[in-house]
This record gives sequence, structure tokens and C-alpha cells, in this order.
Amino acid sequence: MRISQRLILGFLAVAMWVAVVGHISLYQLNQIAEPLSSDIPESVESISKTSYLDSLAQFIRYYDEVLTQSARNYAFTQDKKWEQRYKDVEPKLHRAIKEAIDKGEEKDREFFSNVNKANHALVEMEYKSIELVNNGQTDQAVKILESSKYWDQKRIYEQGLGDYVRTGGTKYDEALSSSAEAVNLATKQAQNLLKTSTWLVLIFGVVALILAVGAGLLISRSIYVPILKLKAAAAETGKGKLDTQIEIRSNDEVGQLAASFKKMLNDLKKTTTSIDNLNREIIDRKKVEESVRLAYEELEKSNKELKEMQSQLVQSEKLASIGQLAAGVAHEMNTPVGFVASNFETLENYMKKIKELLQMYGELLGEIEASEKTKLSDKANTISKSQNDMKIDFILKDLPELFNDSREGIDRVTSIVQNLRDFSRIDQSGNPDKYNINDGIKATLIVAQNEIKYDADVKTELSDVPLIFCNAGQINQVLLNILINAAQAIKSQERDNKGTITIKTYVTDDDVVCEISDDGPGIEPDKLPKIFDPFFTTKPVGKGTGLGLSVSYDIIVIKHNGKLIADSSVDEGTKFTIKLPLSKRKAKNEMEAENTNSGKESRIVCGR
Amino acid sequence: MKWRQKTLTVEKRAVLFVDDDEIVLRSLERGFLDEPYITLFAKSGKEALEILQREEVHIIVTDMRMPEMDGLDLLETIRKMYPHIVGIVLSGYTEMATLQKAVNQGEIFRFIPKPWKLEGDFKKVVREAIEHYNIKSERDTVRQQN
Repeated sequence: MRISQRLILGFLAVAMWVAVVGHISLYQLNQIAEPLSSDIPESVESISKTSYLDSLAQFIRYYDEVLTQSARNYAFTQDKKWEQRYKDVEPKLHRAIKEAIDKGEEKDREFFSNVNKANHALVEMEYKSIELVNNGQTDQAVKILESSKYWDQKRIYEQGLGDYVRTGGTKYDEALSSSAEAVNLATKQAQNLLKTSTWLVLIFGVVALILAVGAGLLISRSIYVPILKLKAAAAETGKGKLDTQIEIRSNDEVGQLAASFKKMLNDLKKTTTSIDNLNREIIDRKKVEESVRLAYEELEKSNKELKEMQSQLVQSEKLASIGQLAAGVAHEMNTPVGFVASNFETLENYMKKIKELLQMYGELLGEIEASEKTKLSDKANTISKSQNDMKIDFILKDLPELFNDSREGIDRVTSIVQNLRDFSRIDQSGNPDKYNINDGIKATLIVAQNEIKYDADVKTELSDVPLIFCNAGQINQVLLNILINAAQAIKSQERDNKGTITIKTYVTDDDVVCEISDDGPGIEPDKLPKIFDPFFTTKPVGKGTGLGLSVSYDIIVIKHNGKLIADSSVDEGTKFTIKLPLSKRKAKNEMEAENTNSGKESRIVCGR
Repeated sequence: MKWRQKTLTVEKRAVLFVDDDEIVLRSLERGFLDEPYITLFAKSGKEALEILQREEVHIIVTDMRMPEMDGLDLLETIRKMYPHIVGIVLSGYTEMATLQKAVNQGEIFRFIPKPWKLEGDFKKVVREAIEHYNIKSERDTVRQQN
């Protein structure tokens, strides 16, 4: 049972007990009140009514006397004040009689009705007498007032009043005595009641007290004990023991509280577990954060290393270009050196033969001096045979050609060395100088020829362009990169006929422009934006560093303030446009700034 | 007697040189002037194939990089049409992957780099190639007889 129900029940029991006591007391009181409420007021009321009627009767008698006397006095004295007095009092009498009829008992009403009738008759006659007096007929008026008719009525009037007084007197006594009786009775009953009530109240009070205390004890026990348990459990929980058992099984609020408490404990356990998990998570996360931090440091380190490596790679791209160049140049020189060396060996062989033959001729000359004809002809035959064996005719005919061929070979090698020097400007320390891009293109073409000539024909449309101020070796490196890329792109198509690479130069208001276009496979649109990115390459692993165009971009755009633009459409070809600015003054200014900044050769500006 | 026979066999052999550079061919012509075998010269792979149709050739010495048909293509064609011919490469072009492929396919007997040495190297290699050819053909003959 719920505590509220229990409390209500307990209070109901006490209240019912109190109600029973109250009811009994009320009954007792009623016993007293009955005579007090009915008998005594009745008699008191009849007494007051009687006394009121009595006084009314007194007034009626008094007013009547006043009227009779006033009418008489007016008739005798003709003094107007009496007429006035009469008219003043007459309504009062009328009202008093009316009042007595209303308030009186049935018997009294009969008496007062008689009085009323007599009064009407008397008043009529008296008004008549007053009228007569006013008309000067005083005698007539007196006559009326002293007539037997007038006095008869006067008697009736008196009799009515007398009848009332006789009956009214007895009633007054009755009322008094019955009142006294009722008061007596009531007093007695009250005394009895007081006695019994005192006992009753005493007994009931004690019983109510016991009931209240009992109910209180029972209820408080059923509330207090489990609350104590809960308190203990809460204290235990507070110490962190979440496994505390609560043995409260009642169905009331405390039971519900206990159930809630248990639920709270369970939730708390869950929460604690999840908090533990969270703590663990936080620790884990901190670990992760720590490792992320470490990873980040590692990453920064790697990034730094990577940057260093990138500069190394840029350097190695330079070296790779030079290596490529060297390989190309070496191959280009292998052939002329090859045949010159071969010719040289042959020449030695030729000379040996010629020497041998000359020796034979010498011997022949000696023998001619003391000669015998047959011997000479033998010798001549031997020489002639040797000449044939030695293929001297061929040798003599071939000798000029051998020299020509060898000279051409030596020229080729000389030209290659010259162009190589022009290309890389190895005789200069990489400082900017006046540069003719057409010369740069020619030098680069000779160097790159070996890479290109088997796959593509090169067409050049070079117009006269002004000299620009820049680092020739770097610009040539860019030209070489683009030319070799073009040749390799054409080669990758494995086509039957050779491709074409077209090189154009011209000058605009601001720039010297060089366009290098090929009719190779072109670059796919999604790859085109990436071609200047470092390490972007479409060549197989190990074939390209992916830095060629990146370095080219750096050289043209960053170092020389120029522009490097790539246009391409798939299956039609690719065009690279190099724009190098003309303006000298600015270049000089920037170069001076550069020189004051640091001695590094990295940022060298060309033109604009 | 044995040497004599060998010499005779060598004299009957023909060597075809292929290079797109005529100066190279001329220097080879004069270089191999005193060699006992027949020397033939072609400026391109196409010309080489034409010569092979007319003449009996036993050894071929070819450059690698030539326009239209390069040395490897030529050797591959020859291996299919004239499998007995021994191939030698004379080149300044030393790209390993291409060479490796050619050697592994058995198309090349020897590789001679440019610039070359006539005495001791080049001529010796050509003679070795001829001997190689002779041994092979003798073996084939014996096999056929058996």
C-alpha cells in the first residue's frame, strides 16, 4: 500500500473516531437544544407578542380618548388647534388598530375587528361634528357627540378592548410558566449531558490518542525503515560500492524510490562503465594524438628531407640532362671517331705496303747499275706482282678519299665538341649573357640530333630576333628537354613514317617567342595540367625523372620571368611556346638586386 | 692440308656490312681490303635484303640505329628468311635492354662497339664468325649424311 494511502487511511480512522465522538456530542447537544430552540423561544415570542399587543391596546385606548376629547373640545371651543389635533391623531389610531388586527391571534383579531368597526363609526360621526362646527352649526355637532348612537359605539369600542385585556392576561401567565419549565428542563438535561460528555470525551480522547500514535508509528515505521536502508545504501554507493543490494520490496513510494535507486545504481554502473570506457578512450586518444604528433614531426622531417631531396633531384635532373646529352654526344662522336680510327689503322697498313714497295724499287735501282737483263726483268715481275697483291692501284686511288673521309670525321667531332660547348656554355660560369635563341636552337639540335633523327625530321622557321640577356645554358637545357620529349613522344607511336618537329622563332612587342610543335600523340586533357608538376611522368619507371618540364618551368617562368605554355590535342600533337621578355633595363635591375641579395646563381632573370 | 682446306673455305665466305653512313662503309671497305673473304656493303636494311636475294652471304655486320629499318629489325628478318647467316652488331648505341633482347633471341653472335679497332678486334671477330659458321654447316652436313 502506498504511503499516501496509508496516511490517508490513518487520518481517516482518527477522523472517523472524532466524527463518531462529535456525532454523539451533537446528539447530546441536540437534547439540550430542543427545549431551548422550541419551547423557550415559543413562550418568549408569545410573551413579547402579548406585551406588544398590550401596548398597542394601551395606545388604542389613549388615541381614542384623545380623539373623543379633541372632537368634544372643538365642538365647545371652536378652537382650530383641536381640529388639527384630531386630524393628526386619527391616522395613528387607524394604523394602531390595523397593526393589532395583523399581529393578534385569531381571538384577538375578532376583538380588534369589533373595535375597528366601532372606531369607523365613531370617526365618521366625529368628522361630521367637526364639519358642522366648521359650518357654524355647533349645536348640531354637540348633539351628535352626545347622541346615544355615539355612546353605543363608544361602548362597543370599550367592550372590545376589555375583552382583549381579559384574554390577553391569561396568555401572558401561561407563556411565562411554560418558559420557566423549559429552562428548567434544559438545565437539567445540560447537567446530565455534561457529566456523560466529560467521560465520553475523556475515553474517546484517549482512544483517539492511542489510535493516532499507533497509526503514526505504523506508517512512520513503514516509511522510516526502508528510507534508513536507502540512506545506508546511498552512503555505500557514495563510497563507490556500486554493487550494494537493497532489500526493499514494498509497493509504496519508498519501494518505488528503492526501485528508482536500484535503477539509478544500474545506470550509474553503466555510466561508470561508459565513463571508464571514455577514460580509456581518452587515454587511447591521447596516445593516438601523441603518435599523430610524432607522425607529424616525422612527416615534417620527411618533408624537409624531401625538399632537400627535391633540390638534389633537380640537381640530378640537371645531371641527367647532361648525362643524356653526354650519351647523345658520345654516340654522335662514336661513328666519326670510329671510321677515322679505322682509316688511321688502314693508313698505317697502306704506308707499310708503300714502304715495302719503295724498298723493292730501291733494290731495283741498285741492281740496274750492274745488271743482267734477265735478272732485272725477274725483279720487275716480282715488283709488279707485289703491286697487284698490295692492291696499290686501289690504295693510290683511295688515299685522297681516305684523307677526305678522315677530315670529315675530324670535322664532325670538332663540330660536336664546338656545339657541345655552345650548348652548355661550359666556358662560362653560368652567368647571364647576351643570347641569340636561334644559335641556341642550332646548338641544341646538333646535340639532340642523334635522339631525334631516326624518329622525326626537324623543320626550322627562324626569323631574325634581337639578342636577349639570359643564361644560355639554362635556356638550351629547356630546348633540349622539349625537343627530346617531342622525339620520344613521336617514337612512342611506333609509326611507319617519321614525324615532324617544327621550330619557329619570332619577336613580338614584348617577347622573343620560340614555338616547338610536334605531330606526335598529344597529351590527354586530364594530364595536361600536371605536366609541369615535379615527378609527373608518363614514361616507364626509371626512364624519366619527371623533372624535365618542372625544371624547364622553373628556368623560364621563375628564373627568367618568361612564360612557358603547353597546347595539346590528342592525336594531333603538342606545341610548347617559350616567351622570353625583351626589356633589358628591368632585367639588369633585377640582376643587380640579385647580386646584392646573395652570391647564389639560382635566380637569374631574362628580359622583360 | 687441313689449314689449306680451312683457308679455302674462308675465301668462299661473304660478309655483308650494313650502315647508313657511307663513310663508315668506305672505311670498312679499305679496312677489310686484305681479308681473304668477300666483302659486300649496303647503305640500308632494304638494300641489304636486296643483296641477300642475289648473293650468297654468310656473315652480316650491321649498325643498330638506322632510319626506316633498324639493325634489330633487319637481323630479325634475316633470322626468319636466312637462318644460317651469323649476325654481328657494330654500334655506338649501347642501350642495354635492346641489346639484351637481341642477344637472348640468338640474333647476335658478337657485338662490336663504335669506335672499333680493326686489327685484333673487328677482323678477329669476323674470322670467329666465319669459323662458327663453318663448324655449324659441317655439323649440319654430317647430320644430313647420317
